[in-house]
This record gives sequence, structure tokens and C-alpha cells, in this order.
Amino acid sequence: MSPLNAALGLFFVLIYAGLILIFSLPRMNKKPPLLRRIEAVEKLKLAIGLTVEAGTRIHISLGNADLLSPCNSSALAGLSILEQVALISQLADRKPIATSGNGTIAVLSQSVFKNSLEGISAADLKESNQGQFSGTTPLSYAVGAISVIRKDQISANVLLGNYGCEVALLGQNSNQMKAITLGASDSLTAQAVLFAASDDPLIGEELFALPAYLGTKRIHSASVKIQDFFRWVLIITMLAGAILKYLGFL
Amino acid sequence: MKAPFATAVAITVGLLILAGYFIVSPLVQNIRFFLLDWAIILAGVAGIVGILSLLRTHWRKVRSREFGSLIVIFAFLATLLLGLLLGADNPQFQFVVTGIQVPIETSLMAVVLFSLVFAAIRLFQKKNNLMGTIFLISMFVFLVTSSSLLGIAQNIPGLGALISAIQTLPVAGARGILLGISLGGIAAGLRILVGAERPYRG
Repeated sequence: MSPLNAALGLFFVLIYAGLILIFSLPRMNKKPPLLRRIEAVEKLKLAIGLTVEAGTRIHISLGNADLLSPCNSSALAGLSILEQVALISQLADRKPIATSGNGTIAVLSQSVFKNSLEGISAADLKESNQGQFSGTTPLSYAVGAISVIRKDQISANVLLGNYGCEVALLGQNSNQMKAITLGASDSLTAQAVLFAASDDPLIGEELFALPAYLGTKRIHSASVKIQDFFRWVLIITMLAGAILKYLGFL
Repeated sequence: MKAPFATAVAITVGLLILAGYFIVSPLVQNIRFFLLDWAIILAGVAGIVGILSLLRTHWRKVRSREFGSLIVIFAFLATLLLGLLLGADNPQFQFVVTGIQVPIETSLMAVVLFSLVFAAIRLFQKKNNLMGTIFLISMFVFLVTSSSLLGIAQNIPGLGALISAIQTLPVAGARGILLGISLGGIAAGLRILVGAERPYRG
């Protein structure tokens, strides 16, 4: 990376972090955030309600991402959503279950459960096996997660993470069990597959906006606002660049 | 605040790694690689914990009379034993492991193919709207243009340029989606970096 690129990158990250922190201050959040309606989120909320009433449970699949790889952001967003779902499902008889294809993410999912579900001890968590490691390779992970989808009275499968085309197997099995299937991924292949295989796919950055829809933390709504702001900055910059190049200035 | 020490360590390490990405100083780089080495070791340990958890899950299934899980436990123990005796790099060991793993995963990929075809049909049945139609038309167009079926057409003046132009469309769309994902990913990372989200505090 050239010094100019490094300086620009650092500047961008600092501005991004600064704006998120500023917009999460109480005085900047007097009004509740205006979020556009996403059908998938409404269905997820309904499914969480069903877990309390019908005694079913929610399965959150966190994919195969390695925490040390650049494609871990979807798994981090998945962990955030897992925390929100676990908090909302406090009253449910059957607590949510998470599967992942990476050891570090599996350990973190167990940590999230332990932290979110009040009164649950490490021994209970071990016994209930809520944060599962389902397989070491993408396909073996899919097979392990399928056994959860088919056997654990799942009413909704939330597929959030880094996948390949094997996510089609998860989607198909979820549909066969007549469970709600909600999918989002940072992988383009998985996004295309999920568009066909899930009831309600989330496209692109919608995955990272989910915590703002499910939770009440100010920082989540602040990060959605800043995400949108920078998206418009990028769009305008790219359009301006294209016009300037066309006119011969670049 | 729960687990303040873990939070302080996580934020400090995160900031040092991030600084090492942008600041080209030997001191910062050395700290960054030192911490990354630790992270790799910890990830390895987490992998072992994960595998033990997987074995426990299958052992529990065996106890509840799902005897298919015995195959997983047996395969794990056999691979572990052979790996310890022969070494992970041994060609015969590699031959045996890949000789089992590759055919199984290849057959699973064949199942994935059927799942994808089934999903495409289901898409047409369930999402019988504008987006569903556009998705299906795009799928057929790019299947045809990316295959060798139009190899001869590439040489026809005008048509070849049109096919090339069509083939660049997914790249443009993909870049748009990837930019959105990158912005979201940065936000998710920063939320953890500033300690607003702490999946490690359990």
C-alpha cells in the first residue's frame, strides 16, 4: 500500500468511526430512527414470537468464515444478530441454536449465549449445546447444519455468514421442513443462491443493518445512518469520476 | 461493564492491528505480526475446542440411538491415529484421507446442483413478480453467454462486442453489492473495535 493510500484509508476509517460515535450520542437520537420496512425482518420477528408461543426454536447459521480472514464481517454481524435474537428469546422454552463451520466463531457463539441468556450457567450451556461447531469444510458444515434444521423443531432458519453454493442445501432443507428461511451473505455466490433458495433474501449491506432493526442500541441505528451516508458519498464520487473522465479532466 | 479487562485487551489489540495496517513503521509492524501470530495460535486452539464440541454432539446422538454418528466418531479417531503415526504430510495418509473426502464432497456437489435447479424452479413458482422474472431471464442469458455455445458468434462483427458488453454487466452489479458489503463490514468491525459489541465477554 502506498503512503497516500494508507493515509486516505486511515482518514476514512477515523471519519467513519468518529461519525458513528457522534451519531450514537443521546442528543443525536432524540427521535426513533426511520428505517424502511424489510419483509424478512418482519417475518423474523414473527418467528421469534412463535418460539415463545409454539415451543419451536430459531436456528442461526453463522457460515464458514474464519475469524482471521477478511470475509469475517458477515460472521461478526451474525454474532450481533444472534445476541439480539437470544435476548428477545429469553422467555422461550426452546432457546435459539447457532451452528458454525469455524472453531473461533463457534466459541464466540457460545460466549454470546452465555452472556445473553440470563441465569444460564456454563454447565447448562454445555448440556444444551446451543453454539455448535457443525463441520470443518463448507460441505461438511452444510451437512451438520442440515441435521439441526431437520431435527430440532426449528421454525425459522436465519442463514447469515460466508457461504458458497452449498447454502442451497440449507435453504432447500429449510423449505422442506416448512420453516421460514431468511438469508444474507457477504459472498456474491451465496447471495445469488439465497435469492432463489430463501423466502426472503437480504441484499448486500442489508445484512449489516439487521441489528438496528432487531435491537434498541443507539450505535446500531447510528451505524446504519453512517453506512447510508457513505454509500451516497461513494455513488456521487463514482458518478463524478466517470463524468470527469468522459470530459477528459481525469 | 462486564469483563472490563477482556474488553480493554480486545480494543487495544484491535487498534494496534488496525494501526499496523496503515502505519508503515517497523515497530508497529513487529507488534502487529507478533499479535497476529498469537491470534493464529488461539484460532488453532479454538479449532480443537470446536472439534471436541463436534465429537460431543455426535456422542450425544449415539447415546440417543442415532448410530450414524458412530461413523463420524470412528472416522475421526482413525484419521487422528493414522495422522499421529504416519504424519500429516505422509503421501499414503494424504491418499487415504483425500480418497474418502473427495468422492464424498464431489457427490455432495452433485446434490447441490440438483438443489440449485430445484431452487430456480421454486423461485419461478413463488416469486412470480418482476424481480423473479428478471433473475430468471438474467440466469438464462448469462448461462448461454458464458458457455461455449456462442463461441462462433464471438467472431461475428457487432454480435461479439454485444456479448462482451453483456458479460461485463455482472461485474458492475457485483462491484455495487461489494461496496455496500464493505461499508457494512467496516461498520460491524468498528462497533466491535470501540467495544459497543463484545461477543467475547461471556
